[in-house]
This record gives sequence, structure tokens and C-alpha cells, in this order.
Amino acid sequence: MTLKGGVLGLLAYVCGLVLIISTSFAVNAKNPPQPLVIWLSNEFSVEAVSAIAKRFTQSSAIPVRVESPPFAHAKFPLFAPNGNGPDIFIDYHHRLGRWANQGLLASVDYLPTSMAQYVPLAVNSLKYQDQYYGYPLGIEVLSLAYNKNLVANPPTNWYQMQYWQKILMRQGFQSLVWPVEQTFYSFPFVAAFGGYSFAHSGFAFDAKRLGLSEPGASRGIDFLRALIAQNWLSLKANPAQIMKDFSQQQLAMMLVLPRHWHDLKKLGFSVGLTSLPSIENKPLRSFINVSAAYINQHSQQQDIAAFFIENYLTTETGLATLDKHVALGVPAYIPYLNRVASNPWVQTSFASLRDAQLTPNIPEIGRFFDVMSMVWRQLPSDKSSTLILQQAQQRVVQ
Amino acid sequence: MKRIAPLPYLTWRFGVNLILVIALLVLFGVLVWSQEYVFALVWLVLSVSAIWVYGVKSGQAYRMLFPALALIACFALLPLLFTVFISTTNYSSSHLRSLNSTVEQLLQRTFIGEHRYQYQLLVDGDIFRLKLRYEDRTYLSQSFAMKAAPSESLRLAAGGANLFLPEAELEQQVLFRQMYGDLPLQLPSGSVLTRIDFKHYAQVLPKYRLLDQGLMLSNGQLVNDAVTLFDNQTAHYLRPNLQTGFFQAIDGEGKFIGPQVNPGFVVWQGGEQYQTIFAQQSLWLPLLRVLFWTLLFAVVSLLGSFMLGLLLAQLTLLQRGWKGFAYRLVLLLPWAIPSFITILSFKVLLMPESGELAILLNHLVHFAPDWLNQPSSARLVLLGISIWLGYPYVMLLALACLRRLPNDYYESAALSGYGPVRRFYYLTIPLTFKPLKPVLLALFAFNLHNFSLVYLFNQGMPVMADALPLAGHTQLLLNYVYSIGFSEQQNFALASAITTFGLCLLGAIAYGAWRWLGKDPAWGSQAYE
Repeated sequence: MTLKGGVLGLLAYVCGLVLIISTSFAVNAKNPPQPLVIWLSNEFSVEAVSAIAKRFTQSSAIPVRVESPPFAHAKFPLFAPNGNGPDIFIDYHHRLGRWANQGLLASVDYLPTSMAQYVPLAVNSLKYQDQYYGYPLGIEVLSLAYNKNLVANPPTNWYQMQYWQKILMRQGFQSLVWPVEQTFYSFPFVAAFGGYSFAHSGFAFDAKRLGLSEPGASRGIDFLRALIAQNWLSLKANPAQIMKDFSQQQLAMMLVLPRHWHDLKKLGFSVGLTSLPSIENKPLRSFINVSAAYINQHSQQQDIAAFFIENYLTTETGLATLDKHVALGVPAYIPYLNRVASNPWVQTSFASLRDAQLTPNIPEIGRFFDVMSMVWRQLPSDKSSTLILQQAQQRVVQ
Repeated sequence: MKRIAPLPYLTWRFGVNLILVIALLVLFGVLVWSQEYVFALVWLVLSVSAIWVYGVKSGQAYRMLFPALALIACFALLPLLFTVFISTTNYSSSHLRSLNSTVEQLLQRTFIGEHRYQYQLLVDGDIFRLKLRYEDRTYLSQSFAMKAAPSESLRLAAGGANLFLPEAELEQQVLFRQMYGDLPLQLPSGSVLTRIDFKHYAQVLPKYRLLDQGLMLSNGQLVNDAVTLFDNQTAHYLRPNLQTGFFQAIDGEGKFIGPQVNPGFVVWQGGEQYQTIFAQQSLWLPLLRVLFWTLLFAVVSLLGSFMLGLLLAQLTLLQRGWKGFAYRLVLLLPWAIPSFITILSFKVLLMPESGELAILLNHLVHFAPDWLNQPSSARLVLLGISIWLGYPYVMLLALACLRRLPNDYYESAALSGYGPVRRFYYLTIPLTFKPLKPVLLALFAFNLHNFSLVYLFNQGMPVMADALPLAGHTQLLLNYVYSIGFSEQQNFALASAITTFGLCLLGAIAYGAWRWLGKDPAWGSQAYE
């Protein structure tokens, strides 16, 4: 009895296995037009890209799916090689090197005429190992936003900033606060004193040469520590709280990116935008981030993706739609840049570019940001500033 | 009655066995053919042993045990062996495929020739023509309609420079792409063109090819294998560098020069990942801390939930009737709520400065755990939640256990002058500990890898200042490994090595601790056996 049952069971098991394996070998027929899939990292507006995609669908009859999946950056390298990734990924340029190394991004062969239509800085930021990847959309840099009710004339150097800090403190306001633990906001202070991330010649970065042990760099750490000691800054400051304080007119100034611009204009009081102040006649050096549209190397419709980007996204109409939802900063496409060049905030950003430094796009930049995030946590410790930076440098290079 | 003995190979059983063996071999063959050697081997071993157990008399002793053993082999042993194996390679996001499959992938690479022919899709009613232009030369295709699938490929002839027709709409161009986009186009000169985008045709050439005759190095060595490639674009020879796991160009002597060609391939590296762990202080120090915390977490939350569950069970039993029932119902509620809802609720409630529970604590005891920044507070909160989630289970089982304890023990203990606390310590704990031991073991094992609690609550924050890759003060081993394996770096090999190392260490410690617990005369098994 048991013997018979066992044999029958085993037979059923084998049949089941054979069925499963044979179905997985079934051949996929070639599909009718597949939708173009676009992923956005969460700083970008799904609405804006959907509006552009709608225009494309109307004239081409190709459906477009615009998504902003959670953990998009982690998913992209896992999904793309299996054919489950998007055709287009819109993101900032600093992840470019790692993804290009993994063979995830399709290179773009710019014709000289089309390359001339982009701001050179933007298109060069997308260059990695002598190949261009993706199309630039906008150039972003930190600026100083100030509440015109509280600050009559914005500070251009740190003496004036200290003056405002005194005046505003007396009146019960805060002057300038930023999220210290975020490298993007805090590194400009180290850079002002001579530190930098990776050495570069032209637009090629050297992963072995860091600028954290440059002579002045540790003074940037000292500078931040002094502000913490004066209770001017707190490690606990988070972006949401800062934005809330600013909108309730408790905080007079904040460091902002273009993606905050539209929010600032809706606050109900007059907000001005100006370049970052200088310290000891040296400018604060913000990172420059370039937003870009990449094409997935594993996509079956790279030509359609390129056509969409060239004719619908990086055009005057396309960028105007993007700009309307989330400000682009300095648009990378020159015809559209000319159209918005009279906007004072774009002018401010454009002027700030001179003192800012491009975020390196080599794969090692991920490690650099990881290590720097630990540097800010050590600000309250009693380690010397030089030692903190020295250890950080060793960790990045090791 | 006379029976005719059937031929031995015509019985029912023989037929079934024959079919089984054929099916087994076919499946084995399919697995081998699709290069799944490990699965083929596992399948062979499992099915042969199944036939032995269920078909042969000598194997029948194992017929109840076999399914369990098979499941353990498939779902515990095999993944473990895989993990150990991966830890001896360089498997990571930049080294995903085997050498052969990387060669196949590279052989599919193409590059676009120098001449790009601009194309236009001209439309005349329902009739289309393709016009190609390169500098001053133009070519024209025959007329074609795009109604049904293409019956013939397009032929090009020189001419058409003076043919001016409107260009097709985008929708028609997309249709053209679908129908003719994959078909090659032949110029009158004989060269074959491929459509590359919405404006151009060009020659698309394979970037690499295999050697056909072998390559003589300057030291007289002849290289002729299936993994040496010739780069058609740069005219270099490429060979796999087994040290780094990348293809690289070689010079005349076979030395590796030139940049690494992406993607890399998986190579066997032996103990290199383990060496990395031990050589870098930013790796082994956090790992030891993580292991220590994992163990501490498991032990404390086990003891906490055991003591709390037992105590509450005992207390609710003091109250007879519906009141006791109501107490038990309320106390079991944490178990009824799905744990991830509980965890996320606690996260919101305990948020420093804004969470309701944190505000309450601040008012009552002037202290609220700052678990976002302080490692010790974060650990304390995690232990609290873990005990909160774990005690109802223990309590439920303890209730069943306590009801069966003979009352005489307690009465005689009470007569000998033992108070309730001492009765609890000397009677209740030892008497319930032994029957609950398997459950406690399961709870301990569960807490050793309580990944979801840490992941949902704070992802292991705050971050250790001296760890690279990043590690958190409250990360359990599994969270730490997960963050290495699936963070930006995606270094699966390193994550596997850490898992292997950590599991060995944890296993040894847990085993030792359990043995030690078993020997304890007051609580252990020997006293009451």
C-alpha cells in the first residue's frame, strides 16, 4: 500500500516538474509595440514627464509609462539586465560612472551640431572614460534664499552673516541653518578653505587623488565646529524642519536647490535668492549636480527612447513643461536657457556656477559620500579636525 | 488453482519503474543541457534516494524521515553551500556572469561604422519609399505598402536625388520601425546597412571576434582558446585577467595592458574575501560589534519575553472567572496585530519630540529615548519592541503549561513557608522551563535573525562612525549583510563571506550557551528527569 502510494506520488511529482520546466522553455512570441517605460528618481515630477509623454503618444501611438518607483536607484542595476528595467532613467549625473561601469547605460554619439546646443559644462559632466552617457536637462547649484521681510540686504560675506545672526537672534529669529549631516550642504564649507573631493584634469577625475588633506581643508571642519559650539548649528537640523521654520518666518535664510524654488514662491512673503556668501574672501563652493536622461543599455527600444528624448524632452516645450513643475535650475539646453535667461533666479544660479565645483561622476564618489556622512557625525567628538579628514581620506582610498 | 508466473519485465511495477527512470534521466538531461549542473546533481541524488526509500525494501526504514531530509537539503543545506561557495568568488554587481557567458555577451557587442546614411520615409498616399542619403549620393527603395507583414526586404538602387515627396508622420515611422526596422538593407555596392535610429542607417559591425588561427606571442607561446578575443575596432587582442575578473588588452608578450573591459566575470578567489574582512579594521570591528549585538539582542529578548510571559500568565491565573479571561485577552492582543503594523506604530509613537509616547514619557519620567542619534537608546527601544512582540506567545504556552501543574506542589511549598516570589522562582520557572524549551529555542533562533524588526523600525541607525561599508549600531547580522549585499555596492561575495563567518561564530556561541543552559541544575533538564 505505502509502496504503491509512494510510487504514484513520485510519479505525480515528476510529471509536475516536467510540466513546469517545459512551460518555462516556451518561446515568447514577438510582441506588438511595447510601452516606453520611464523611471524618475524621486526628486523629479512624474506629472511633468507624463504631460510630455502624452504629447509623444498622441503623435506616435506608442504608449508611455512614467513611474517613480521607491528605491529606484537600487532597483535599476538589478532590474535592467533582466529586461525589467525602464527604457529611460532620469537622475543626477553622479551615479553615471558606476552604472556605465556595470554596462547599464547606452552611450550617446553626439553629432557636433547637437552637442553645440547644450551648455558645455552639462554635457561634459556626462562624459565618462571618453564616452558620453545620457542627455543633460538642468544644472543645479546651491544658492542662499532669504526672507525679504527679515533681511533687508542679503549678506555677501560671513562678517555680514554674523551681523545678521546677532540682529536676528536679538529679535528671536534664526539666521541661517542647514542640515549639517548632509554632505551636499556641509562640504561647501570645507571646500571654501581648499578641500575638494577628487582631483581632476578637465572633466576626468582621478579616483586615487583626494583633496581632504589639503592644507586648509581642516579649517572648514573647525569652522563648522565653532558654529556648533556657539549653538548656531545643530546636528539635529533636518530639511523638513528647516523648510517649516523658513515658511513660518522663524528662520531668515536657508540654502536651497532649484527644486525648492517653486515652493519658495508660494510662501506668501517675498523671498530673494542670491549667491552663497564668502568666507575670508573665499567663496563657499557648492557641488554642481546635473540632471540627465539616460538610456538603458538593455532596452529593446533604444532608438525610440533617443527619439523621445531628442524631440520631446530636451526641446523648448519639453523643458518648459519640466521647469513648470519642478524648477530645473540652469537649463542645459541653450535655446531654452536663452528663453529663461531674464529670470533673476536663473541668473543667480548661473553666476554661482563660477565658484561651484562639479560633483565627480566616477564610481568612487559613492564611497566618498558614505565616508563624508560619517565625518559630519564626528563633529561633536574630541578628535582633531585634521585627523578626522585624514582618516576619511584613507577610507576612501583604501 | 494454477497461476501462470508473469514474465518478470511485464509486471505493473516494472513498467512504472521504467517510466520513472526514463523521466528522471530526461529531466537530468534537460538540467545538464541548460547548464544547471548543481540542480541536476541535486535532482539526481534526491530522486535516486527517493526511489531507494520508497521502492526498495532496505530503504523503507527512512520513508517517514525522507521528506524532511529532502526539504532540509533543498532549502537549508543547499543555500548554505551556495553562500559558502559565493564567498570564495568575486561575485558582485560588476562581476555577475561566468567567463563563458561574458564572452558570449562581448561577442554580441557591435560598433557603428563611420558612414551614417540619413534616411527618409517618403509617403505618397498609401505607398511608401525609403530614401537614403550620404553626402552627395542618394539611394531609393522600391515602393511598398505597410499593410501586412513585409513579404520581401527592401532593395536599394542609386538615384532619387530629385524625388521630393512629403515625409511620413511619426506614427507611420513607428510602423515602419516595427515592420522593417530589424531587416538589413543592402546597398548596390554590396555593403549591408542596419537601422540605428529614427534618422540613420549605418554599417553595424561586430566589435569582437574569436581567434580563428591562434595568436603567437613573442615568447613563442601559442594562444588559441575560446576566450581570446580580437577587437575589430582597435585591433587589440583581449584576454581574461583571472586576477581581477576583467577582460584586458594584452601586449606582444601576453602581459595585460590597457583598461578593463566591462562587465567583469566571476572568478574563483579562494579566501580573498575573508582576507579582506580580517585585513580591514573598518570591516572586522563593525562585524564583531554587530555579532555581539545580535547575540545580546537574541538572548535579552528571549529572557525578557520568557519572564514577562510567564509572570503575566501566572498573574492572570490568580484571577478566576471572566476577569482572568478578559486580562488574558487584552494581554494577548499584541500577538493578534501583524508585527509590521506594531513596529511602524511604535516608530511613529516613539518619534523623539513629536511622537505621542515620547511626549508622554517626557512628562512622566522626563526622559524619552533619543533613538535616532543614540545607539544605546535605539538598542533599548528595539529590545522593548522585541519583548512586546514576543511575550504573548510565551504567555499562551505558559498558560497551558501552568494549568497542568499539580496544585499539591504549591500547597506544600506554601506550608513550608515559601512566599509567592520564592514559589515563582523555585517552582514555576523550573517546572515550565523544560516543557517550553523547544519553543524558547525557536524564539531564540527567530530573534537571531529578526531582520524585519530592525529594518522596519530604524534600518539599523544610527550609523557607526568607523565602518566601511556602512554599518549601523542596531543592525543584526542579517541586516548588516543585507545592507552590504543590496546597498549601492552590491558586493554579494563579501556579504556571503561575512554571513559564513558570522554564522559559524554565532552558531558556536549559541550551541555552547545552550549546552551550558542544559547543565544548569536548578533550571535544566537533569533535575527533573
